[in-house]
Amino acid sequence: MKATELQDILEGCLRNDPRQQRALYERFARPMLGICLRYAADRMEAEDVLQVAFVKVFKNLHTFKGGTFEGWMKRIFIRESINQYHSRRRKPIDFTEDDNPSILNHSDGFADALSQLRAEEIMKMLARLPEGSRIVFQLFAIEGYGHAEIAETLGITEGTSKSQYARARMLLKNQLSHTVS
Amino acid sequence: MNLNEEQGFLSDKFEDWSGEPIPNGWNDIETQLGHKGRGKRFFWIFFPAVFLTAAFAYLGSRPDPAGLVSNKEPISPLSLSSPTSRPNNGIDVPSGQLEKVGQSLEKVLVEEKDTRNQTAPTSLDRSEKLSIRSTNEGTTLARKTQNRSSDPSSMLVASSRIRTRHSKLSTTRGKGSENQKPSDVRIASAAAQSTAVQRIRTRHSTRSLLASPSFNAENGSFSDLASTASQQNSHVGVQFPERNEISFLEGRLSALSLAPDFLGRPTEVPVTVIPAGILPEKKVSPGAYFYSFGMQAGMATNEIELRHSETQYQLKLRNPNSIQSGFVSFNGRFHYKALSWLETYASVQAGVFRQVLDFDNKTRTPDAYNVSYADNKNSYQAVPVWQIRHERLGQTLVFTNTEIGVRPQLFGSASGPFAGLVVWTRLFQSSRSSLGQGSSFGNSAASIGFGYRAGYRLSINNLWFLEGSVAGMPNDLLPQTPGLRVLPTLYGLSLNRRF
Repeated sequence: MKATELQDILEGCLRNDPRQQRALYERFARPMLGICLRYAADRMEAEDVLQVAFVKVFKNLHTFKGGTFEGWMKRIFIRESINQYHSRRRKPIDFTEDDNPSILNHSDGFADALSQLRAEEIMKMLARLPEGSRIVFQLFAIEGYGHAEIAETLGITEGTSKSQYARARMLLKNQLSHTVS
Repeated sequence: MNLNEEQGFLSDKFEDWSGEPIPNGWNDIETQLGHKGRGKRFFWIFFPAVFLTAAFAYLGSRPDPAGLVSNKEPISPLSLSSPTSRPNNGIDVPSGQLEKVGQSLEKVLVEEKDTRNQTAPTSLDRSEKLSIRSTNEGTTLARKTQNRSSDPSSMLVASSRIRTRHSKLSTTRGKGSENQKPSDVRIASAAAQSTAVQRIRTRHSTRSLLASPSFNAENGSFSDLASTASQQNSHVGVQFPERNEISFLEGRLSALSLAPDFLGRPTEVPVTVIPAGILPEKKVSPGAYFYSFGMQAGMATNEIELRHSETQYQLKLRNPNSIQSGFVSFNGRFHYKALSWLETYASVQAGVFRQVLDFDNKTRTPDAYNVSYADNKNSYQAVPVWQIRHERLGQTLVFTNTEIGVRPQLFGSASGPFAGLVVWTRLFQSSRSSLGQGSSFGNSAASIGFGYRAGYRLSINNLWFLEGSVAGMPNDLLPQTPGLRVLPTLYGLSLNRRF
């Protein structure tokens, strides 16, 4: 989609034009549903999040001040997915502190190994992780959030985010080694 | 390798990771944004009114198969003798016949006027152009004619009750004048060159006796027929023959006075011309009544009250703002004027209510199943699980209800607010769930419940009125689920006709 075309759609959405709103939905529904599916418990919950988040996008479009629109939109969907997760769980995510500093800095080829897998395989492995670690890993490795941003999004400390990522990394590494063996 | 270098290292891998949205996903969003529901709401509000109006207009404008000319035109204040009558408005009457009939009728009326002048020297100055009055005391024209013969051809009385597109009949007993007999029958005619060639509707005449005010030329006021009739022992209106149509030929004969004498001939035909624009709004005195029949259609919304604990059971209505509920009903009413400012009514209504609801049923395993176990080697945790099921529930309800209500006639207006108490009764109910036997909805045991209806009545004319109303339906009539209460609110628009 050309930038000018997207600009026209966004201007139409700001005018509350249903046709332009639908065009925006059709353009971004699939990738955004992919984001929702990564965080939701099942497809139905993901569709609910998609619906709610799109409504939020349309209603808060005037707050978009520039930059990458897809990135702005993506953050809304991720945040809504996290909110949905919280409301579904009704308990704070268990971010158990892991004080083992040895795993915070090492080079073991983990990233290269994981990159060899297909997205579906990675998702299956992630599904076996504890929820806290899984979410932090997704935000860090897939969405590209920094630990400071993850901490702000999840309401945790930056150190907790780092330790959760390290924990997820360790568990995934174990799964990888188990798969290879 | 620093872990921070792994930030976003899987982004490319998931760049194409997407899902296929459900086909009607946009509809839900559009509904929440308020685009779709608004259109449906307007549709449900205006479609029934447009449909009903068009249907009745069509039915009312069909050509008369018997060659009779129907009279649906407004009253026009044309004089009988006026050479410049209004155009015929598409009514196919030969111009020659029209002139003949007009001339003959004029002749008859002039003769009668002479008779009247001898017996009733007091003229009706204000608006009377022609007045023919009977000399028969205490006998109505209608009764007299009916007593003479029941043969349809003897419907000469119809000559005094000819309704044309330029004329309106209104008969009443005269009062307040020495020169008028109590049983005088008057014809308030607004025009008339085409009078005799148009349909004669005795039924309309009877109705006009019952419901229409008639002009009292003596004192320049409109007397209420219903009230005056109730003061008399005999009711003029019920004396008319039960015949709805009188053919064009009969009308001509009667107007031309060509019928044999044994059929009788009316001699009491006061004809007055009512100036345009002075027909007042109908005023009915206490004790008067009328009937109405109508059709109502509309939509419904639901208020859903969840009674279950949210920790164990959740229910989400997926189409909260979309209108997927509607109803159609027919009603018959009896209107009774209890006080000068208050009309009461009793209504019987039957109809069909239909709605489709989309739910997400989320049920959670009990907290008792929340088990955690951990040792040095293994850990196990069973947490409560939410099970989400989507359910589409279609419900059909055939109902009747009885309504008793009041309508204050503020400032004597025929339009105004009304309110009533409704007793709903379920005749038949069916529901179909997409979950089949797994549906959490079950049939309700109750088949009767109380509700309300309130709204505004808009009188279109003396025959038709529109009503917009809000009605509360009891939740017991529809299929229910334990712990959940669905309260439908019906928004309806009805078109009624008086009889």
